Amino acid sequence: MKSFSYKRARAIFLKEFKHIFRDPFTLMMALLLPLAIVLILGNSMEFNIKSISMAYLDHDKTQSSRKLVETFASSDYFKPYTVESPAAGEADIRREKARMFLFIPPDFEKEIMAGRKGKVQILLDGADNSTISAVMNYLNTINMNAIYKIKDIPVSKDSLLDFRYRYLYNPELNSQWFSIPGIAAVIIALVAMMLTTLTICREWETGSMEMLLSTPATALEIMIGKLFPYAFLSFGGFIVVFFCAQIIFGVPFVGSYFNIILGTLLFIIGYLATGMFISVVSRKQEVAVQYAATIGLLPLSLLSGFIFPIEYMPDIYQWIASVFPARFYMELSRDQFLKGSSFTDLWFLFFVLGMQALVWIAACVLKFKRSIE
Amino acid sequence: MSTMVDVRHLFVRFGDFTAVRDVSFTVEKGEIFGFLGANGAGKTTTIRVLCGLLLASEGRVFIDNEELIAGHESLIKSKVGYMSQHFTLYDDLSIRENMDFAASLRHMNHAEYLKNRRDLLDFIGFNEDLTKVVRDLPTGIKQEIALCVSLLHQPKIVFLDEPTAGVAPVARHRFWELIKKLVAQGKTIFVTTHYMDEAENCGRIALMRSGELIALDSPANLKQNTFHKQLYHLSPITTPVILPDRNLFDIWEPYGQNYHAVFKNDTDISIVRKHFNIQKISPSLEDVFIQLVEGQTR
Ligand SMILES: Nc1ncnc2c1ncn2[C@@H]1O[C@H](COP(=O)(O)OP(=O)(O)O)[C@@H](O)[C@H]1O
Ligand SMILES: [Mg+2]
Repeated sequence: MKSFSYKRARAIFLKEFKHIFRDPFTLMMALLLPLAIVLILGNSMEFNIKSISMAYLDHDKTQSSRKLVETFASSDYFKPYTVESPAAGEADIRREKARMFLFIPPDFEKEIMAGRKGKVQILLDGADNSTISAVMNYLNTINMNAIYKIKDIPVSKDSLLDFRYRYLYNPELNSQWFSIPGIAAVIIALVAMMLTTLTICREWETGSMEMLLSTPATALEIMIGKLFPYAFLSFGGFIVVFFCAQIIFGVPFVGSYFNIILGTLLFIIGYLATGMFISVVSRKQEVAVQYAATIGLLPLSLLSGFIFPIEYMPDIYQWIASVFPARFYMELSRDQFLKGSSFTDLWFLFFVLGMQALVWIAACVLKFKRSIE
Repeated sequence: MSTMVDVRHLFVRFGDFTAVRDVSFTVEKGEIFGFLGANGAGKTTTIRVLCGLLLASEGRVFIDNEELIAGHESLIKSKVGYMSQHFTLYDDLSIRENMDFAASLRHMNHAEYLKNRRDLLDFIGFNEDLTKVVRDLPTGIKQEIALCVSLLHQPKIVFLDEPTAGVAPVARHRFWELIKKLVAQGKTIFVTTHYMDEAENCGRIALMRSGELIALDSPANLKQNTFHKQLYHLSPITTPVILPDRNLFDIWEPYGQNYHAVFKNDTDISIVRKHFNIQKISPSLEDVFIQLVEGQTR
């Protein structure tokens, strides 16, 4: 085994970056297309819903609890009405009479007076993806206004009320809305995968690969030098989409930046390596693009749990889905957007994504070495 | 002179197709070695083996007295330069970027690289802007720059696979002047070409046909030894052309509107004289190749 030359890999890396930046089409594809998709997906949902019908049940019946309900009522966003029992509130959501149900427990004011956070429960219609994000956004505003009314002091982060969310129908909130940034990441990666595939095929077809190989450059150096520019490109695309989703659409993100960034990087590298493998095998652009579309889209659309939850699929599909990184990444990104589990909780996903990246790169290098011998 | 390339019983197979079959030859140091043959004859395949890009199925290859061994190609790669048939330079990069890239792939010392680059650009007489994007260069200049790139690391031998394909005649001539200058500087040149006028410049010529080496000699010897009888140039004087009985000839080859022919029996010339102007000629390399390649298949 020849030693890995960082200098050569870097030369290939830099050259590839030049190719990318001199071809505005590539750059647009990689960065703007995913953004456009997010904008379209995002805009198809309702964001400025007024007068959200809201059932509530006040078991506390104190000044504080009344002020909370008042805050809802005085905003333009919510139309509160009271119900007899928690069961009635839930039933109204099921009948779509209400979009949310607020339950104020008996010790609400006592807790606040004791200097703790006042707890309330909020039941949301988890199946209604289109309004959920808007509601969540408003609730943050309501929370601040309410605590100001109740305590009559400027609001700090620790003094906020503790809103406990539950989602009806779908407690895990397997919501596509919350998956948008994750889906966008996969789309970005898909674009980058196509580009990686194309660039390698182009080197075969123009014969420049021969030139590369007539120098002491090794398979690993070429693979690394070719893969990472596109990995960074798609990572850049992801960052753009991620912050647009948060800033423009207010998609809530409860996870850690470290987790999402590490997970996304591992995913992108693994995913691009699968694309690279395709191009090493097929060498011809037309063929490679077909394979890449099939292999790249298959796990995305069918197997990554976006359209069909993986748990309900036959074993064989689950098994196939597990070969590609998309499935695990979707799981990870959904978790980070909704639950925000810690790194230690998610170590297995990171481990799998990391291993997949390594295995696919190794497969590329081995296959590449074979094909030139 | 000592030997630069030594190929012994080389075979290259792709599946059950044999692209190169039992080819043996040597190339001497400081020689222009022409490698000729029709498309698909196995020229590029042979070159790829010699540059360490492809493993021989059988046979041994020595470059500068060093045996090419699978897994240890990098030693050979530092000794050879290669200009491939299809690719020359990255179109979207500038001249300098192309050269920088090649130099860093070869781990060249920066000062040495700059010096070699200057020398080579002087050598080809290029004094324009290095930030020019390759796409905008004429093909001839592109090939000359590509030649420089393949020479950057000062290899002892360069393999040029059809370097002048698609290049205008004047530029082709310029390119061959460069090749001759390189040989004068002690480099060894291994070159393939389709152009017979270029082949005349080679010290020796190897002719490949369907993966086999069918002739190897200097152009002069090839011309002298291939034809055992007088060759004639026949130009038709009648329209439409009245073709003579083919049985009169050993060789009958169309040559533009004319024909090159060898009579079975020179006394038959008078029969054909009614319809053709007939001239004795000495064979060109093209005649030699047609004879060697086609003659053996008949
Ligand atoms: N990688 C390959 N796999 C299969 N066949 C090949 C491969 N490379 C070349 N060949 C075949 O080997 C023969 C010789 O090709 P090549 O050496 O490129 O010819 P030339 O350079 O003389 O035109 C051709 O018939 C070609 O189709
Ligand atoms: Mg060829």
